[in-house]
Amino acid sequence: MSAGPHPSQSLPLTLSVNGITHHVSVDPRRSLLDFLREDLGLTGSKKGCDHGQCGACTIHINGERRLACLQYAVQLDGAAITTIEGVSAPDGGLHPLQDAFIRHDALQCGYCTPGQIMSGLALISEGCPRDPAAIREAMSGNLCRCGAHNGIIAAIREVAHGRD
Amino acid sequence: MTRADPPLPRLDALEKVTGRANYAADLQPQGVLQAFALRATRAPARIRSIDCENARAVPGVVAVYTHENAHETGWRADPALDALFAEGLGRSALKDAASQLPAYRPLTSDEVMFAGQWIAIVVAEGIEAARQGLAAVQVNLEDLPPPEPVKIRPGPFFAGDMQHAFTTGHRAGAPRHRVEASYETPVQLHQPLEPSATTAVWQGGRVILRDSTQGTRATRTAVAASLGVAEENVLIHAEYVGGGFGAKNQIWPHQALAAHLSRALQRPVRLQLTRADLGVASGHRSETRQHIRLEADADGRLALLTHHSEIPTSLRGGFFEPCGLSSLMLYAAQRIEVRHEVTRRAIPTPTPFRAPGETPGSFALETALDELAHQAGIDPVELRLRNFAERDLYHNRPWSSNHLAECYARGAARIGWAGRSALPRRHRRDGRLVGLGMATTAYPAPILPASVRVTLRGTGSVLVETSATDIGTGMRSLLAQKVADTLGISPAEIEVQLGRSELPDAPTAGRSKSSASVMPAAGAAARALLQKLGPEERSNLTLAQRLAALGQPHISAEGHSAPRDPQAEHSFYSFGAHFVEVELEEQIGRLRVTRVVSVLDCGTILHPRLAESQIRGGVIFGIGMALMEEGLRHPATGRLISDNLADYAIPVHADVPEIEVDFLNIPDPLMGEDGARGLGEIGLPGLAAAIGNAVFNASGRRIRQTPFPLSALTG
Repeated sequence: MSAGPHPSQSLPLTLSVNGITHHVSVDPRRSLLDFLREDLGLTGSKKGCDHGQCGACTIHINGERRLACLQYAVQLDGAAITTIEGVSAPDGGLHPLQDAFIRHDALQCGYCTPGQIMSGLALISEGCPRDPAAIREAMSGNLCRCGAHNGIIAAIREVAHGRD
Repeated sequence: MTRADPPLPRLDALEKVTGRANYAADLQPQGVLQAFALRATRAPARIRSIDCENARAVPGVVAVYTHENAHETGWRADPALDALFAEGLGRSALKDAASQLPAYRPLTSDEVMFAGQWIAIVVAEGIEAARQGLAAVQVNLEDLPPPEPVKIRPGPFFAGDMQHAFTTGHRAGAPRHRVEASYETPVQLHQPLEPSATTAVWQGGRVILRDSTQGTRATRTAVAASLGVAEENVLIHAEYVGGGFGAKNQIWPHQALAAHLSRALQRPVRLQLTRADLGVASGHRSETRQHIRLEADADGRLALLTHHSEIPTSLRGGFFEPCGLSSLMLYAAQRIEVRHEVTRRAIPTPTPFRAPGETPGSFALETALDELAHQAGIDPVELRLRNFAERDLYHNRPWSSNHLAECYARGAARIGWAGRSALPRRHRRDGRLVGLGMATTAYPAPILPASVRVTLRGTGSVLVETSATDIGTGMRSLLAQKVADTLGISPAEIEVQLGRSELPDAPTAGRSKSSASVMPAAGAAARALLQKLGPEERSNLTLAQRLAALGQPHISAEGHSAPRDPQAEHSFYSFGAHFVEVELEEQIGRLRVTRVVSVLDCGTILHPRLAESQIRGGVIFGIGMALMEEGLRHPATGRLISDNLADYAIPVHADVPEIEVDFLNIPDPLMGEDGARGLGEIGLPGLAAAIGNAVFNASGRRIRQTPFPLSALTG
C-alpha cells in the first residue's frame, strides 16, 4: 500500500488561537484538537472520544461552538479559535461562568469541564433559554460521567439570567 | 464532626475550570512517541500470521510489536504477575482448571481469547503515523471452535460465600404469597470521560509513569514486577484522573506495556487507549441473568429468599458479578439461599464496576420485592420494614449503625409517598402516566491501612501528602479540611499533594473506602505534628511562631491508620432509600425520570456539597442503567459493537432531573474518630429498580430487564 503523505508534505497555516496569531505548517491529517494539544501544548481541550460524541474538546471557532476533534487544522486558515485557556481575563481573573462552576460544584473529575464551559459560554451568547429543560437540551452534546449535571445547568442559568 | 461554616469549594476546581489540570495524556515530554493498539476482530481464534512489514514502512513508525517480538522489550507471560493485574481478581474463588493456566496477557501468544484483544502495538513519531501504521498491519486469523461452556460454582468472594443457604432464625408464617421471576442486565461499560492513557518516561534505570489510575501503589507494584525492577525505580503519577468507576481500579496491561516500550526504545512513550479500546482493555460489567424466588406469609414476612445468578467470565480470568451479596444480609427472611454459577466464555475479563454485584443484584431483588408488595397488597415501604434485618444475619453480627428505617421515612415524606396510589395507572399529568417507586440501597464500608504526611513550613503553610488518588471524589478537599480542622488553621493554609506512588502509602480509590481509610491517618499526622511542636505554652502563638521557636525550617510528621480487625464484632454497611417519580408517555414509550429523592445513612458527612455530588453521580449511573446503557456483542464474532459513546448511550443533560440528596448525617460510633462511611457506590444500587417500580406504579408494566426495552413501555 502507499505510504501516504509524509510529514514533509505539511501545509502552511495561519490562524489565531486565544488572540495569538500562529504561522505554522501542519500535517494535513492532523485534527484541530491534536494541533491544539500536541503542537501548541493547549491541553485544556480534552480528547474523550475523538469522534464528536462527547463534547470534551468543545472550542469556539469564530465565536461558534465546535468540536475540535472533527476539524482538520489545515481547513482553518484565517480562523480565530478560542479554547478554555483563553477564557479567563488577561490578568488571570476567572470568567463568571468559571467562577459559577466552582461555586455550584459543577465538576467532579474535571475532564469534561473545559468542554462544558466552552459550550455553556456559547449558549449564553447564543441567547440562553430560560426554561431549564431547554438549557439541558442545548447542553446535551457535552457528556459528563461523574454526574455534575445539576451543578452545570445551575451555573449556566445563574450567569445567563442572574441568581433567582 | 460536621462543619458549621459553609463548605469549602472543591480544592482543585480552579485547575479544572481553567484547563490547567493535567491528566495522563496531557504530559508532553520531549521526543514523546505515540503508541496505539490493534484489536483482534473476532474470537476465539489463533493468529496464523501477522505481517507488519508495511506498517514498519510507514514514515514515522518507529516500532511494531506483536506476540512474535514483544519479548524483546522484556514483556512476558509469568504466572507470578497474574495476581497483580486485573486478570487475577477472582481466580482464587473460581478454582477451576482454567484458573491454574496462565492468565491472558496480550502479545505473549498467538491465542486470541476474545474479540478486541490487543494483538499489535504500533509506536510512531506522531499520532497520525501511528494510526496509519495500525491500518497497515495485516492479520490472518484462524477461527477456533467456541469453548465448551463449563459451569463453575465459585466459593467465597468479596464479603460472602457465593453458594450459601441458611436458616436465619427469623420466623415467618405459612407462605401465602410467591414471586418467582428472572431478571436480566446487560454488559455495561464504565465510560469514564478520560480514556486511560499511560505516558512512560524511562531515564537512568527508572521510569516515571504519568498514568490514569485509581491506585498508584498497586500500579507501582504490578509495573515493577512486570519490568523486573525494584519498586523504588517505578514512579506512578496520577494527580488528575478523569473518572474511573472501577475501570481504573485494577491494573491493566497498557500500564506496564508503556513502561516496557519506553525502556526498550529509550524514548518517552504515550500509550493511549481509544474510546473503542476501553471496553475491551480496561474491563466492563458483564451481563447477568438472575432468578429470584420470594415466599411470604400473609403479613408479608419473608419465609424464603432465593437469589440465583448466572454470570460469565473470560476464558482465563476470574472476576464475575457477585450479584447475590446483598441478598445474604439485607432482609430478614426465614431462609436465604444464594447461588452463583459462572460460565467461561470468549469475552474480555469483566472487572468491578461501581458497586459490583450489588448493582445488578439489587435490580433483581428490589424489583421482586415490589412485585411481592403489589401481590400481597402491602405498601412497598412497609414490606421492607417488616423484613428489616436488625442485624447482619449472614455474618451473625450487629450492624455498626443502621438507620435504614429513618431513610425510608424521610424519603417517603419528601417525595409525597402518602399521595401514591397503591394501584397502577391512577395518576396522570399533561396526559402522561405518573408513578412513584422506591428501593433500598446498601453497600459495605471497608477500611484499609493508610498513611499521610504533613509538613509545617516556616511560612506557616502546611503540606499534606499521600499516594491516594482524587478521581473526582474530592479527596484533596477532604484532606485539607481534615488537617486544617485538626491543626486549627484555615484550609487556605493547606496545600495537598496526592496521586504519586512515592508519597505515603494509601489504598486504591474504590469500594467506598478511601475517605474512611485516609482521613484517620490525616488526623493522626496532624496530631503528631502538634506533638512535635511541643506543648502549647501560649495559646496566641501561630504554628509558624511555634516552629520558629524550635529553630527548624520545617517539620514533618506521619500519621497511620489501621485496617479493620478481621475479627470485628460488627458489620459495617451504609444504607439508603431511593424514591423516584417517573412520567411515561405510553403511546410512544417515552419514559422520563422526573424526580429522584435519595436519603442516605452513611454516618457523618464530612463535606456535604462534595458528598451530594458523589451521590448524584451514582444516581445518574442508575438512570443510565435503567434507561439506556447496553453493551452489545456481535453474535458471530463476539466483537463489542457499542464500543463508542454514540452506540453506548449514557445519560446526557436532558436525561437528568434535579436530584435531591438527603443525608441523615448520624455518626457511626464505630467508624473511627469521624464516624464517616464511604459514599462512592451507594448512590447506584437500587436506583434502576426504583425507576422500574415507579414505571409499574405509573402503568402496570413490570420490567425485569435493563435497559428497559421500548416494547415494555408501549404497545
